[in-house]
Amino acid sequence: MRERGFRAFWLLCGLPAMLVLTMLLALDTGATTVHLRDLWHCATGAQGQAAHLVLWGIRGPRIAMACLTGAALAVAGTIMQGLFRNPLADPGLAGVSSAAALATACVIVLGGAWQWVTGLGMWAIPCAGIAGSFAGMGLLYFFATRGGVTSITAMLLAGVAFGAFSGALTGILIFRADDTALRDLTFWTMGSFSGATWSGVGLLVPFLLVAGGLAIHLATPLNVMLLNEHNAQLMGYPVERIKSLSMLAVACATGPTVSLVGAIGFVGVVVPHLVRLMVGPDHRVVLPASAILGATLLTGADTMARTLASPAEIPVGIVTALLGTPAFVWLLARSHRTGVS
Amino acid sequence: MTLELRHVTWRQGGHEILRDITLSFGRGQVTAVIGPNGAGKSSLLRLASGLSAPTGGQVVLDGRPLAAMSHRHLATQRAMLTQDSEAAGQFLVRQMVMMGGGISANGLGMEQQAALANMLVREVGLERLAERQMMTLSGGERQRAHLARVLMQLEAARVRGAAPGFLLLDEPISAQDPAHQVLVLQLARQHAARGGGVVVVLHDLNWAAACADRLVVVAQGMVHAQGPPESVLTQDLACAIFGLGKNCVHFHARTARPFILPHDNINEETDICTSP
Repeated sequence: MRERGFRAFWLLCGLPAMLVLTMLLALDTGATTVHLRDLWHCATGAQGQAAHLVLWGIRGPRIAMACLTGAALAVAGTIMQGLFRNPLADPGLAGVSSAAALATACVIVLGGAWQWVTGLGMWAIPCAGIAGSFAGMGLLYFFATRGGVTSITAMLLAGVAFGAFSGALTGILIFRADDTALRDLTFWTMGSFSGATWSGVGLLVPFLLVAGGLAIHLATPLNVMLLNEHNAQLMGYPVERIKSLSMLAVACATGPTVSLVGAIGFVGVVVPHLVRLMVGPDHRVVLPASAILGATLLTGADTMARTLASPAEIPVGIVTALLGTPAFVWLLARSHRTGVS
Repeated sequence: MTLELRHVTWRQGGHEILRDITLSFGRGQVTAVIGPNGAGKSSLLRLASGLSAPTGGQVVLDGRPLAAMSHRHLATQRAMLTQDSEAAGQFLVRQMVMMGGGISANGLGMEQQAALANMLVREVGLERLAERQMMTLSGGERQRAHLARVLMQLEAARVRGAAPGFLLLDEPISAQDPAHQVLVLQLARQHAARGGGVVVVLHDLNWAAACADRLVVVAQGMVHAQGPPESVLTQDLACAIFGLGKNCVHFHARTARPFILPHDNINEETDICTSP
């Protein structure tokens, strides 16, 4: 326990430092050269217009969005894996991502004909995505709950079925789409931070505050849930409330982020595992550490995505998978070899 | 101060598992529930713990129906070792035991909780394995780790001033070697000696008769007999309920408690009674 305690301490000290470094590096890197010392001038307003625009107008919101998305997806993944007691669970399984994709496809393909969609302008897609994700989660929860008891297995199975069904509906929409809509849809599916704005970040923050608050509240109950539901109930924990709050936290963390930046895989599944391999299963450490590592990983990945093939951009999901997989496999192999996991 | 089942009936999946059960478990006493496979022993324990609600009748703890008590309050009054406790994967033994006090130890300092957990880990004989991951333990060791967690739940509540609670154990020695069977049952007796109530489901009739103050025999969803071991575990009962052979019930010379010696029956099919 002591060894794990030390590791957790160093991780929770080291990870924020790594995140700050990654953010500074991300601010510094890009098509336009901006020196780090300009940051200070920028903050005090003593810097020229161009640097201000690049740092504050373009890179700032993009980095903020990448950080928040990485943290949100990692926390959602941790909660899902804890709740479902399944290492493969990710936010996509709860019907959130697929519902958001369906709603987004609806707006992109059919939205032009709807007055309220054109009235919402640039907010139409994120708003539809958020509404869709919450509706998807609600529907799944409704299906899996009988007599006040939610079956986790039913939810997992219904989530898979629901994903396939909404995938088919999205397919029909793609089939109907014109060239412009098709391009927009493809762009959304691959996930990108290139459209990040401060107002987008502003839209995300309240949802993530709710998700974060719930995650803090759920850390200990999720530990107990790993001993199975009966034992959690016998130990005095309100099992059904834990389940519904967990699903709410996942919907709040995933729905808005997926709606704003598109579907980014990998982070939600792998980051919690990376953290568990390092510090063990205690959610009181795993949740905050996953949030910070997710933020760091996605900020780093996005920086690479926009600079490696500059001036073109690689979809960020490709970078996360290419970078993260070898690291994950190495850690997994090491833990098997040493017997420490 | 008792845990009572009043005319309790439980149906599940269209089957009547328990029928009109009325029982009372007292504090300071070890009650062993015995019966053949599928008799409804574990179901009885589930209802007594409040894990499932009865379809008919009610379960009452110290005069209050369980249904009217909060999860939190109930957690300080009773704890249960189930048969289906998960491996708890990468948690360390000491960590897992500490988790037992999650609700009932609310208000105790971390040091006090850690001291309590250490004491219990020692009592169940896992001191050397306290820093090991749960998944690296054997089945028996894992079962004792869960027993320590369950004891932690009641002990933490007791330290905070709650009345000694009820300890419900579902086959707690099923994975134990002989020495640890004694240890586990001694811990159950110790809990009763400190004023707590113990209800233990056992398959081993000898251990049931040796350690319990009272036996409750459950068969086909009903209470078939109850009382002190020497008056309950008779040759007729061994024959009728457990399908054992003739002359298998003996009495211990010193304690006068009954015990089963089925050696003579193993190869003599003619002597075996017909099961109920």
